[in-house]
Amino acid sequence: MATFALSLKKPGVIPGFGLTMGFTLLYLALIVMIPLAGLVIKTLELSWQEFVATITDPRVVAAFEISFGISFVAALINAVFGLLVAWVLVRYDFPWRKAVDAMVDLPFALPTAVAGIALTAIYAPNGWIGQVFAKFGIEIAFTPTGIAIALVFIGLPFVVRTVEPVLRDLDPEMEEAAVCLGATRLQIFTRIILPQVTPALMAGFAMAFARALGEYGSVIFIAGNMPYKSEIVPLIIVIKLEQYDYAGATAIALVMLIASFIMLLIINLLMKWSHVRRGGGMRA
Amino acid sequence: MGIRADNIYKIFRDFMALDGVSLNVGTGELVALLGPSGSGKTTLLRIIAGLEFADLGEIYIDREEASHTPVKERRVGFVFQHYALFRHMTVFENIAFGLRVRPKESRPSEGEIRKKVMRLIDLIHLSGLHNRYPAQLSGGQRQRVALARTLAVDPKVLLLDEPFGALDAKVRKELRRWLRKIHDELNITTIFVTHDQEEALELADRVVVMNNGKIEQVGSPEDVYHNPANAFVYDFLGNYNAFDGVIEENGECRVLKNGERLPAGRERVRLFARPHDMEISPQPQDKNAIPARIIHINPAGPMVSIELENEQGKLLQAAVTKERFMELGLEKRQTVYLKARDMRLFN
Amino acid sequence: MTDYALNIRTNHPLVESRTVRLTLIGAALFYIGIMIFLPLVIVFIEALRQGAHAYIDAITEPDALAAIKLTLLTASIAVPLNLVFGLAASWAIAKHDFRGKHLLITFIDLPFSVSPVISGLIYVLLFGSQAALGQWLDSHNIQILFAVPGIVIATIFVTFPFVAREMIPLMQEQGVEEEEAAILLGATGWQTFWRVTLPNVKWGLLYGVLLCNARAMGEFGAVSVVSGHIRGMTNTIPLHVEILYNEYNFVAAFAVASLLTVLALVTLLIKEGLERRLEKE
Repeated sequence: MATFALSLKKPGVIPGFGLTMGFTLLYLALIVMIPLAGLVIKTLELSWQEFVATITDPRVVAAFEISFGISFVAALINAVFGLLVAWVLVRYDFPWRKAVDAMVDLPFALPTAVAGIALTAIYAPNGWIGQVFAKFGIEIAFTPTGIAIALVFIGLPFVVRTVEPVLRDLDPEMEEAAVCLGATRLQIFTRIILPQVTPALMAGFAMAFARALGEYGSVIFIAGNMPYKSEIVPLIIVIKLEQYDYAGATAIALVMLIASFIMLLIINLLMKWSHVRRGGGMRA
Repeated sequence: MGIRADNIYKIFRDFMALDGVSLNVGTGELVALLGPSGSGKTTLLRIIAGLEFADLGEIYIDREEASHTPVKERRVGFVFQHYALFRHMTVFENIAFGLRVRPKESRPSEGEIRKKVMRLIDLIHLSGLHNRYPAQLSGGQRQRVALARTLAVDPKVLLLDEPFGALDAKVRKELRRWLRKIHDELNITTIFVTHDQEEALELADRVVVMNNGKIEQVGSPEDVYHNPANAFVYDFLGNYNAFDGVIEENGECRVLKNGERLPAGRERVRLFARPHDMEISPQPQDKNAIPARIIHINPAGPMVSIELENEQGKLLQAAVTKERFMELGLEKRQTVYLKARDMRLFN
Repeated sequence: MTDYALNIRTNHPLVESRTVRLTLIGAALFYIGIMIFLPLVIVFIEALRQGAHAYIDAITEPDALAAIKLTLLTASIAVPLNLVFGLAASWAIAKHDFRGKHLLITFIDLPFSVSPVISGLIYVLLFGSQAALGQWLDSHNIQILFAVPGIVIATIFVTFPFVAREMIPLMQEQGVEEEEAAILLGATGWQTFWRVTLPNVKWGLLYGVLLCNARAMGEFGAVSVVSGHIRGMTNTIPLHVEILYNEYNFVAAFAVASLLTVLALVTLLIKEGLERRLEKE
């Protein structure tokens, strides 16, 4: 009666899985995975001592400090102002609101080199804003401050775009309930709204930070690129390449790559957390 | 075109969705798969359709082994719970889709397609709406378009997943009658999934009650309602009161009285009674009557439903006719006596 | 001040005081103005500083034209390839169930989190004359690095995730029921894809392609590393901007940069239009 026929587990009825998956994996391997693996293999050519010597070279260490430090500051600025911009865009109506909303994405669409020369033109000692500060003896372009400005620019959309949907989806009833229970507006913000937005805000911060770490095009124009002072890690990699020091460039790149992976992991966790916070439930 | 499922097993990760299910559906039958969510009824339906594959077991459609027949060749009509209408196509194009995607040699001409689609639109009473998009239709209208779309390809069997689940109560009833009518006219073997017992009992020729990936009972609506095979089926098909009871030496069952100790050497049993099988009286009917206090009366509906509390504070339910209610002159907080006319015992 | 500025969204009955609102709006507008609007304006002001004539000269000069041509060529190879990849990947990932899906999506996202400089570096390591593959290519007179193929490959890498990343969540959101319905009605895989899946995601697809294209045309870091900066040969528009700028030829640099700025603005404009369209649907 009961014949036990073990059927092969099929992925589903929608066809084309083998073809599209095969192509996806092949293309991914050729374009991304193999070249990235090449970088790791190249690092293995260095002995451990050489690797350590490369990445602890004072000029390299200085660049790491500059890259991580300024990226952090820029991401922090973006976290504060990004939350502000997202808040204003979601909660208030004002003339040109839609246009402002659209403009937020400009750093995603504008090539970094263009951003770099435009920001330099503004903040150079003879530029529109640069000359105002120059009067007080403050230099912006060609200093770490200049780097920070470029990194704020390229990281600007991240916080706005991660926080915006969360703010928009907040249940107004919660705020209504809070006000009925006697909370002030500030209390509602710090106790009801901010806790719900925090994971998204941190994810946005992490994205802006990760992006800033690797940024090259917009920074090199405005940075002045002085060793120990305003030289970022990606630039060091380029300099090493120009000196045909492939191994050295690779060693530094590997450290950056690991930093990016860690950031990617943190961002994924934060996004998941944000999803759970918003009542979405943990997805498998 | 009969359908037979033979010992079907299906496991999702660590969840046993179907645990050895066998089922026979005869040609032209209208069968309901009834069960709570997670009981495996939708999974069984999807396996019959070929949208999922059983880990073990076989499906026969029209006496042919179909486990390895591709979906396209099973000629199964499937109506999704949320209809899955193609949102970028009009009603007409949705219904015509199955005809248009046929290979050139078997594709009907444009004129034939038009004729057939328009006939189906008439059948589902949507004449004049053929140029609407799904978003411009009401829930009930979408449901009918979904059905017409599957009928357009002349399926051998019709499978419906919670066909009325997303509709409001009034539309549901209308569509139920209408589906019954279409089924009787076309005489097409039909299986539908539902969690609504009333729907299953009213519409189906036979009801399959499922729970935890297993079939609990198969039978006519009358059969499953009046002769439930076990406590689960009894529970799922209506409200009930449960009592601790004991089997007497003469084989009769009796409810244990308040505070009564179980007579030595006897087994404690659970006894079940439907609310409408509860008799209410101001005086004790006999020595087994249960005293209880009325805590709520709901006179809306064909019967007056009464909620009571026994001496231990346990909730009991009873339903009496309007006449009987007036006759007894029942009031809230009044203490009355309950006795079950009919009780069931499941092992 | 018009009261328009203070209109409250109707779904938020609780609102800050007028002063607070004005301050917040003012601060946000100042931030966006100074960080985004100003750089945008300055590009055009600097480009037109010496009049329309100098502007036109700068963008029609042979090296500029060569750069434009190379940029268009690069985008016309990278974008279609990533489009096909994006469709294949999103079909496989969004419409099917398999283990390791999240890991695969993470891998596809990788190029986004890699510094552009490193994106260039990995190909230098692969195709450079110090590598085995590079030497083999050299001996067969195939030039990839410091030539057009290198630029194209680096561009493919940095724009790799755009279409896939736009399509996967969109297709996942659409679910598989419509596809299942189509297949139950007898449609083949291709018919299902063309007639059911694609029409549902076409605007999202266009958006992904647009972003992919903007990045392909504007990529600087990765292309800079693999290009070798050979004027008139391996210069894309962004690289040409850099060279002009470093030669203190600011007007020409900004003139050429203004082309990319217009591209960015057009991209944002179409994106706005598409988003409104998506909202409507």
